[in-house]
This record gives sequence, structure tokens and C-alpha cells, in this order.
Amino acid sequence: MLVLDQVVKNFGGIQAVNDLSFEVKAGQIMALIGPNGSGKSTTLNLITSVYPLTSGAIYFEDRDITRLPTYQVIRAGIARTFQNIRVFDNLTVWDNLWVASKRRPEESRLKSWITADRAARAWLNEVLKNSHLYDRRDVLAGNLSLGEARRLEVARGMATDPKLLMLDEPAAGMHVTEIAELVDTIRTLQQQGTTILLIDHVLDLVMNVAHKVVVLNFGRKLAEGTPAEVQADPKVRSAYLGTKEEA
Amino acid sequence: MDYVYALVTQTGIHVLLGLSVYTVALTGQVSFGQQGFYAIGAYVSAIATVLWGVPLLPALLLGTVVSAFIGVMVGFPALRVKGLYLAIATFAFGEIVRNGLNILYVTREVNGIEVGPVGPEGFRHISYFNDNGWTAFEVMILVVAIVSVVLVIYALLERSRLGATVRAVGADELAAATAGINVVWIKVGAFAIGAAAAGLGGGLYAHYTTFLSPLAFGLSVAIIAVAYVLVGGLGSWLGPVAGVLFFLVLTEGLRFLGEYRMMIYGAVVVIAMNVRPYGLVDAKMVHLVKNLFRTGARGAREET
Repeated sequence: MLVLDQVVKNFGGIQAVNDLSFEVKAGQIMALIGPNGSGKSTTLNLITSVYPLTSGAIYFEDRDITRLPTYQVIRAGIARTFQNIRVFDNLTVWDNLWVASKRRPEESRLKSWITADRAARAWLNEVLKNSHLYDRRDVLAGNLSLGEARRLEVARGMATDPKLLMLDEPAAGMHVTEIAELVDTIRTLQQQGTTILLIDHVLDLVMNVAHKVVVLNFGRKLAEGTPAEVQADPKVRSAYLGTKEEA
Repeated sequence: MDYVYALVTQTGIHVLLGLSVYTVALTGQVSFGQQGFYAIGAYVSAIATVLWGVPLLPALLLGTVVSAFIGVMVGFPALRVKGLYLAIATFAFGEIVRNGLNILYVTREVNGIEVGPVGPEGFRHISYFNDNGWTAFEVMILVVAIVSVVLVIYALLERSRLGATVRAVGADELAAATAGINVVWIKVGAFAIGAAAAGLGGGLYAHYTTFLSPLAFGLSVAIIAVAYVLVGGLGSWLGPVAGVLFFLVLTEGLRFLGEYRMMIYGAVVVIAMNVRPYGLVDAKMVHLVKNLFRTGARGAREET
């Protein structure tokens, strides 16, 4: 579904991502893990064209999306969240989803800019209910708690009706029960047919839910496989043990 | 009474100027160049009525459309920069327009007198209202009507998805792009709508004052227009309206202070900005009022 082909990104003299290739298969939950600074978030930013690639190519459903601007990558069917939450603080929860909602083909373009029709309303309300934010729909996003804001970010991504949802460290700053809820949400989304690319450095979360794991270190792919395979890999162990003390 | 008519007319024109800065500010940008569009609207519509004999409303429309078009032309390159850099870039645009007007000579003989813009000497005899026998009262009604229509359009747009999208871009451009929003188009579009509002205001100003001078479109206009929005707030279209009214009351209400007027004026502005740093009509206040109405409506529905 999503293919990265020999992707390279240099920031000045620093190679943030170096010759990275992997594939996300449709229907799976795939995880991209690695110690801090290993290039995980950069990879996400490359996929969504936040930065241009130095070289290499990215394909989504056999279409070259390497040079598409961010909003077109999103419209092609990829949604994402951010490590540091970025919701629209000055809009209500409902408006946060409304601006992101994908226009249905039968809906007129002009009308969709003005008002949400019954079907659009129903769809957004369903997304809100799935993220347990329906009761908070009239609240300004700036007044939400951290956990709610993270759920809103996921919901906003889902409002674009994505085929692939990329979550950048969704468990950061969450406590144990919230992480358990998050795991449930991720599984539910996958069962409803959304492919997931999960980024994290908390191994526990990833090991529980992912079908496949790619491990990054210093911008290179260190290992790839099932969670069990990756966990047993001595290279991965040394990379993690080496950095855990710093963290 | 003519004093009141003049005040209302000028207030209406300045509301358009305030709205113009406000529209750009909603996308998170500050423009110090809206006086350029104000000038373009003024000159274009005045040239249309005076030199070409076009009726007033089509002439105003022409000034508005030309301003919006130039807004798009300027918006694409200018909006690549942000913040202070954009403020300087837009101010540079305003100065280009003003200096362009200084060398604009388009005169023609109409009914035995030379009319049209004469460079730095300005543009005299914009006598549409006088020629057609409009009283000051009628001019005021026309301005109030046009401004009301514009405000109704703004009020409707702000409730629309387009309005929410513009605010989303203002809140966080990267997040907006990842919500599938074409940020460049929204910013250029808002810039063009802002330019149109200023152009319409300029057209009304030209016909109200009957005399245009390039001197009237300098930095002071840019600053007062931005001040309307800073003091008024970005919460809704009521913000720039409140800003204009605030400065109107201040300017007219402090006349009795004579020499001390401008000192007190400055002090009051500073105090107002300290008391309400996000403007008189900020997002929180708008949300509060909206929720009051919303819960009110819901309560009423539950009762029946």
C-alpha cells in the first residue's frame, strides 16, 4: 500500500534518514520504532511532504506521491497525527473535524464550503462518537485535556476518511489506562479497515498491537520483522540498551 | 446633523478598511498594505464615474474587482513570507501603489474642464453625488446599506465551513495542511477578499470626499487599519466594527480635552490593550456568547 524506496533525507551535513526502504501492507498495523533521534518523525514528515526528500521515492497505492504537496497526500488517503499535539485551539471540537472532512462525491463543492448536509453531519458525529468526543463537540479544542486533544487529533485524521492512518507517538504523556484505551482504539480502527502506521519508542505498546515492526537507528533500518523476531534481535537490544540510559 | 451624517459615513468606510485587515489577520498574517487596495479601489471607481461616465454602483464594483484581482497577484508572492517579513512586504506594496499614483496622469476634458488624476496634485472633481443631487443623508444611507450587506456576507461566511477553514489556517498552517486543506489557496483567497473589502471602501471614500490625493494613502492609514483589528479583536466580524467604533468614540469624545487629546488618546489605547490583550471581541467571548444561545435554544427545546 505504502512503499518507501531508498529514501534519503539530509539536513545540512546530517543524514536524518539514510537509504530507508520498507512497505506498509494494506490492513496491517505496522510499527516504526527506534531510539530518540533515529529518524522516525522525519520519516513521517517525508511521507506527508512536510519536508522534501533528498533522494528516493514514495508510492501510495502504486501512485508516486513523492512530490505532492501535503494537502494532496492527505487527500490521496493518508492521515497523520503529531508528536506534539496540533489541534485548532480556536475552533470547537466539531469544527476541528468539519474543516478536515472529506467531501463525498455526490456533494456539491460549493455547498460543502457553506454548510454540512445531513449525511456529512451524520458521518462527523459518528467519528466523534467513535473517539468518545461527542459530548465535547461544542467545546473549544484549546480547552480539552491532553488525552482528549490526542483523541481529537486521531478523530480529525479519521474525518479525512483515510486508508492509512499514521500515529506519531500517540502514547506520549499518557498513563496506563489511557494507553489501554489507545490500544483498543487502534485495534478497532484496524478492524474497520484502516491500515495503521504506528510510531513509538515505547516498545510495550508496539509489541502488543503491531503485526510487523521496522526498527530504525541513526536513520537506517536496523531490523524488520514480527515483534517477537525484532525483540530477539541482538542488534535491536544493543541499540535500545545503549540509549535507554540516556533517556 | 451634517456632522452626524459625516461621522456615520466615515465610520462605515473605515469598517470596510478594518474588515480588510481582519480578513487577512484571520489566516494569521498582518498586512500593512491594505491602504494600497483602498487607493486602487478609490482611483479605479473614481476614474470610472468621472472619466467614463459609468454609474456609481458598477464603478464601485469595478474598483472592488480590480482590487481583488491585484490582491491575488500580490498575494501569491507575498504570502510566501510570514510575520514581520510579510508586514514589510505588504507595506512595500502600499508604497508602490502610492508612488505609482504620484506619476499617474490620466486627464480628459469633460464638460469643459480637465478632470482625472494629475499625479501628486491629486484627483479633483469626483462630483458624482453632487451632479446627481444626492444629499449628505442619502450618501450616508447608501454607505450604511453597502456596509450592512458586506457585514451580513461576513456573518454568513463565518458560520460556514469556509470560515472555519480560514481560522484553522490561522491557528496552525501545518495542521491545516494535514487536514487536507489547500493552505496557499485559503491564504491567497482571504488576501483577495480583504483586498476587495478595502477596494470597496476606497471607492466609497473617493466619492464621499470628492478629492483624492496620493498623500491620503500613506502609512497612517495602514496603522489605523491594523489598530482597528488589534483593539477590536479577531473573535468575529464584530471585532473590527468594535475597533472602529472604539476609535471613533475616542477621537470625537475627547475633543473637549484640546491640546491634551492625543496624549489621553494614546493612554486609553494602551490601557485597552492591557485590559483585553486579544481585543474587545476575542475568541473566548464569542464562544461564551454562542454557548449561551446554544444552551438557551436546547433548554427551550427540551421544555417543549
